[in-house]
Amino acid sequence: MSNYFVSWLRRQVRYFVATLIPAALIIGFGMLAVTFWPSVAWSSTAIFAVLVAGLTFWLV
Amino acid sequence: MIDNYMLINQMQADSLMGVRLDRALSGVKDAVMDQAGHVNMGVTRLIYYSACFTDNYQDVCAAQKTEDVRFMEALVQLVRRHNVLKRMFEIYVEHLLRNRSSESTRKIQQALIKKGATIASSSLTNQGLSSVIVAALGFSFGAKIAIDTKLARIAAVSVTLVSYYGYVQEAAEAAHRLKQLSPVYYQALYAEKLEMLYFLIEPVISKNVHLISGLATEDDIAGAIMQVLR
Repeated sequence: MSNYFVSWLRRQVRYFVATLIPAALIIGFGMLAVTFWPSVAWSSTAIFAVLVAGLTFWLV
Repeated sequence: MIDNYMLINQMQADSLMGVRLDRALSGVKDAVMDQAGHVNMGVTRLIYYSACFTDNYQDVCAAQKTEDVRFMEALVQLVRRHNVLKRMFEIYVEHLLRNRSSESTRKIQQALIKKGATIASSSLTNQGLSSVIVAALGFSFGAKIAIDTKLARIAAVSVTLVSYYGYVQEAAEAAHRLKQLSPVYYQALYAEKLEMLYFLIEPVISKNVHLISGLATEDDIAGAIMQVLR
């Protein structure tokens, strides 16, 4: 029972880390982009999002 | 010996439990449908980007990019100003009451008092914020796929990230609806970089937002303000 709970908890933490951190990073980068380099905000955020997603898929 | 009273009690308890179970199951169904809707919207938005690879639909591609940037700008406003929802309601009420004579304003005030309004703008903001928090919790807890293979984990993460992107599509669609319903209010929100957050308050004001553009009676205006205050 205890092992099951621990593995379940580990799965949940991994899921949250794998979804919320990339989302927060992309949103944070996008917000900085539209504020500080608006002319290339979309393209730079898109490249950053692809890199973050790739890194997440590799690490998860 | 089992008397009638005990039998009736047990039947009532069974009935109550049945009703509770029914509500719980319908809640789960709603959450799943909501999550599926956001995944659908996220995928739709990503597919629209295929327009960027064609010559004839460059306008669609440019519009999508602009919406994404505007959404990010709206998020910046959300972080910087803290009270954006209150401001959006303020703009709404200001536009409802614009160009009204003092006599008309007094009539609206009377109508509001008649309807039993208590002026509680702070509760509005709280309601708006709570809906944001509920929505955020909804999509965070919505898609937990408890499977352990690498491919399954990648799929779960992809689906969740796409469902987050679905919120941009929802915001863009709400902004389009507002543009059709009330261009004046849309422009006012656009000037403050808030039009992409309209989807947060849309359920509260969408029924009466057309009153901004038209010639509404004092009673209509009072009704619209009451709708916001409730």
